Amino acid sequence: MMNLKKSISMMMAGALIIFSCNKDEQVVAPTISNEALTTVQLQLVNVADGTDKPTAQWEQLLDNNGNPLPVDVSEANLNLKANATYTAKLVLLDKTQSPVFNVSDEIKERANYHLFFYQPLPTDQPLVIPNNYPTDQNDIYPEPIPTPIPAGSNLNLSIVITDHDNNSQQYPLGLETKFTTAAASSGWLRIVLRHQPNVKNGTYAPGSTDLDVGFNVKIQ
Amino acid sequence: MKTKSIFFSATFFLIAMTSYAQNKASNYIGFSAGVSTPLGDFSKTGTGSLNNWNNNSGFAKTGFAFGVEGAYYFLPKLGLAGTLYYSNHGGFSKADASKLGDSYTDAFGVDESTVKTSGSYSSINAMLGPQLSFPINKLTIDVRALGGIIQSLSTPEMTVQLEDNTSTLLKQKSSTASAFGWQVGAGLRYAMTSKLGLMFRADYFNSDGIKIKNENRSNNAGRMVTKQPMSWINASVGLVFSLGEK
Repeated sequence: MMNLKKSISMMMAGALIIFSCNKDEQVVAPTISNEALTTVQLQLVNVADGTDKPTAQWEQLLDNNGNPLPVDVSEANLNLKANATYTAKLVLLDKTQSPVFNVSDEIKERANYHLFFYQPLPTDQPLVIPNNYPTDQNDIYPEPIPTPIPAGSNLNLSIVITDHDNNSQQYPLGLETKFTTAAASSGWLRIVLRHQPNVKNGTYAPGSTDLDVGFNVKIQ
Repeated sequence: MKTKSIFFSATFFLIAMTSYAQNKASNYIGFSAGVSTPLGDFSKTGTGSLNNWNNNSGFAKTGFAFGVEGAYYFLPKLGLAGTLYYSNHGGFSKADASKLGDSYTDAFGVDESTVKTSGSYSSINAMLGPQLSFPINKLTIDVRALGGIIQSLSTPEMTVQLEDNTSTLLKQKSSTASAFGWQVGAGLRYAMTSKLGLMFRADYFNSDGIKIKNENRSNNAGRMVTKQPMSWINASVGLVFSLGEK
């Protein structure tokens, strides 16, 4: 009986020693690299007329030191027909890499925490993409959109996102959309990509902005 | 399939050994402790790659096990064995936390993630099943196949904060779930006196896994463990006390 008690005591003592060895750890893991979003292309196809394929491009390349060059909006002009419906595709490129890297594919793989927002301007509807100018003098629109937006009639364009992510509760993504025009008008289109890691809920607010670009739009 | 073949092999071995029976095995109770080495997914430390995350790797470490066991022989060589063992297989090391952090940084495309870990794999398993024993002079060879319950007392916890946004905080919680498990093993008992002996054992344990709960996983991205498979092999030594007449 003495042996039995002794062996139990020894095992309990050993266990207590090992129990006390649990350690808490904390580490910070930084990212290795990021893509640059240098070029944004809008590629549309008229649903009723396959030969009507308007495109537009917004671009900001980097110099050899990685500093941004002036924005090139010479091709950021989208000409649409009135009272038409277009399927639209957004293509994001990183032209700092060779060959050019298609960032859209990367965004699609990471759809569960990315969300594009499209803002036709001018509009009398509540803004999808908030703007606090002139309260916040730094909150200016991306080129070629003027700040503040000049008074004028609305841009008769509505945009619906048609692709979705793979979250348990699916949210829109925004690489694929449907553009619907009404009467002739002109204005601008602002596109913002929100990066919402583990906070994507379909709204604009959570997360940070990865991309903020603009286009001139003419509907005729 | 692998599980079945191990069971069948063990059963065949037990039946074959009965032909070498010499004496009647005696009922006993024993206490043992030893090293417990995790195997399979439980021991793996891979995190996977983008959209192909490894949700089974357990990062378990070589630990220890101790407990009590016994057998009651209703036939000369065939008895019913029961075991009650505690096992501990450590938790996330600093290197593990760093590896997990890298995976969440990549998974969510953020500049950095901060990973905090604590706790360890700690469990009790209670098993019951047939044991065949073959006494040869002072030695007794035991082989057995048992089934039962594993009750987790704790599993490692982890919180991950993406960049500096506290609302992104995601958490893998410590689990106290239970699950079915099975065990096969062999042992050697050496009788020092008519009542006291030494025991040497090797036992393989397997469970498909216990449930793991996670909190604040708003978006499907990154590694998320919802069920942790567990398997290990114990090598132990202990004391046995014979009960009743041999």
